[in-house]
Amino acid sequence: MSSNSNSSLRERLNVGFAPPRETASRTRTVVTDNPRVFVAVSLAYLTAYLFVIGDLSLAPGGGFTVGVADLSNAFRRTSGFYFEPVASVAAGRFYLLLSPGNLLIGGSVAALVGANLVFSYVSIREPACETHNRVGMLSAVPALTAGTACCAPTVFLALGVQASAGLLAVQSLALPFSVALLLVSLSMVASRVTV
Amino acid sequence: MKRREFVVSASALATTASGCLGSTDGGEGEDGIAPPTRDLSTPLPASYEMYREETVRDVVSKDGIPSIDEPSFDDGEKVDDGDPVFGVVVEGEPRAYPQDVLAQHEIVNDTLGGRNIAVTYCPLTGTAMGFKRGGTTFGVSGDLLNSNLVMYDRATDTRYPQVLGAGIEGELRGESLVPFDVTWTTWRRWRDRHPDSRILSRDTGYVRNYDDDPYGGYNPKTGYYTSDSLVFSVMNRDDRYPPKKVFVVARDAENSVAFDKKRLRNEEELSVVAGGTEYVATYEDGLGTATVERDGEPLTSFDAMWFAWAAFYPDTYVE
Repeated sequence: MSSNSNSSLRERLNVGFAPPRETASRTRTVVTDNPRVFVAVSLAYLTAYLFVIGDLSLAPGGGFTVGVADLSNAFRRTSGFYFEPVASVAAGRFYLLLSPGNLLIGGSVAALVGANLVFSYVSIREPACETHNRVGMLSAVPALTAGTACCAPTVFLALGVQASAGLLAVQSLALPFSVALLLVSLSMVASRVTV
Repeated sequence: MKRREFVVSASALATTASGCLGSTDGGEGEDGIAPPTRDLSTPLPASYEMYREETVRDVVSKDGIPSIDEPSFDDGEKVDDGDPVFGVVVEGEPRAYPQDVLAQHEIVNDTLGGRNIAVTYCPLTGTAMGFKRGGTTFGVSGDLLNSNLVMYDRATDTRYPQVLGAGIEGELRGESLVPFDVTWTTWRRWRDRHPDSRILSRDTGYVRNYDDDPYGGYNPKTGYYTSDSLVFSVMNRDDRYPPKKVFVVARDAENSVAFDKKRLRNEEELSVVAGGTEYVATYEDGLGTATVERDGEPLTSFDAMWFAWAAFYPDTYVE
C-alpha cells in the first residue's frame, strides 16, 4: 500500500497518536481537572478487578476482623500476575484479601482505565473535542479475565468454557494485553485534546 | 516405547486395609526422606507418555496453592453440622479436615497417631485421599491431569496424580504411594462417631476467605459441583452418567470398580463381578459413606466424580 493510501486511511479513521510526553502531560491535565471522575472510575474498576481475582468476596457477615499472615510472602507469585495475600480485612458482608503485588497491578490498571474514561467524560461534556473513546473502554475488559481460583481459572468456570493449554496461555497474556491497549488508547485520545 | 513404560501398577494402591492407617503394613520408607512407596507389578491404564502429554502444566505456579504444613486444630465450634469433612483415624486417633479449608490448600501434611500422613483433596474431581508421607511432605505441583490434582513430594520432586496415587514423572516414577482410607462425611456425623475428634483449624498460616469456596458449595451443593461442564479436557470421556455424579470407587492389581453412591445408599449393598472376582460395596449409614471389599478383604475406597474416574479408568466395572 502506498503512503498516500496510508494517510488517506488514517484520515478516514481519524487515527492519531500523541507522543508519550504529550500523552502524559495532557492526561495529567484532564485528570487534574476532573479528579472525582478519575477516582470514581478507578475505584470502581479496582473493586471489579479485586473481585474477579478473588481478593474481594462475600462473607457470612458480622463484625470486623483483621488477619495477618507471613509478610515474607508479600511478593510471592502464585500464578500469572497473582500474588499471595498477606493480610485480610473482614467487614460486614465483605472479605478483602490484601496483597501488595495485586494492589499494585490492580491499582495501575485501574488508573489507566480511569484516565481513559476521563477523556470520554470530557468528550461527552465537550463534544467538540471528539475524543470518543470506545477503545479505551474495551481495553479494560481483558484484564478482568486474569482471575485464577485455586486450580481453575474463574473466567472459564463462570463462562462454562473448557480450558486448554492454549487458552491458558492466551489468558496469561490478558493483563499485559489490556495494559498495552489502554496505553495505546490513551495516546490516541490525548492526541485529539488541546489543553 | 520402552517396556518399562507399561510396567506400572496399582496393586498397592488397593491393598491397604480398612479405615485405620495403623492396620497397614507401615513398612517401606516410613521414616525415610522419600515418601514410602511400593513397587508396582501390573499396568496403569495408560502409558507415561500419554500422562505426560495430557497433563495441563502450570495452571498455577508450583506451590501456588500452598499446602498446610503446620496444621493446628480446634473443637470445630464454628463448623456447621452439615459441612463436609474428611475424617481420618490413625492408631485409634480421629481427626477431621474441613472441605472448605482443603478446597483452598488441597494438601495437609500432618502427623497423627505418631504417623506422618498427607490428607489430600482435589475440588475439581471431588476426591479426598490419604497417603503416607514418610519423612517428606507433599506439595501442589500446579499441574492437572484429567482435572485432578498432581502432587509432588519435596524429597524427589516426583509427580503423582492424586487419583492414580502413583509416580508418573520423576525419580519415583512407576512406584505407588501407600494410601489409607479417608472418610467423606459431615461434621455432625463424624462428631457423633468420634466425639473426641478435633478438626483442622482455619488458622492455617495463610489468609483466605474459607467461607467462599471458589467452585461452589456442598452445603447445599451448588456451582461447579452440580454443573455438567468440565473445566479441563480429559483423557477419556464416558457419558453414561452425569459427569459430577458421585461414585464410590476402588481398584486393585486386576480391576477398577465404581458404585453409584446414591443407589448404594438406597440399596445398602451392591456387588459387581469383575474378571471372576466379586467386589462388594456396603453403605454405612452412620457416616454416610461406603466400604468396598474384594473376596471379603477390604480395599481402600473413596468418593469420586464420575468423569474423573472414567477418565483415569475407562475400563472400570460399574454398578
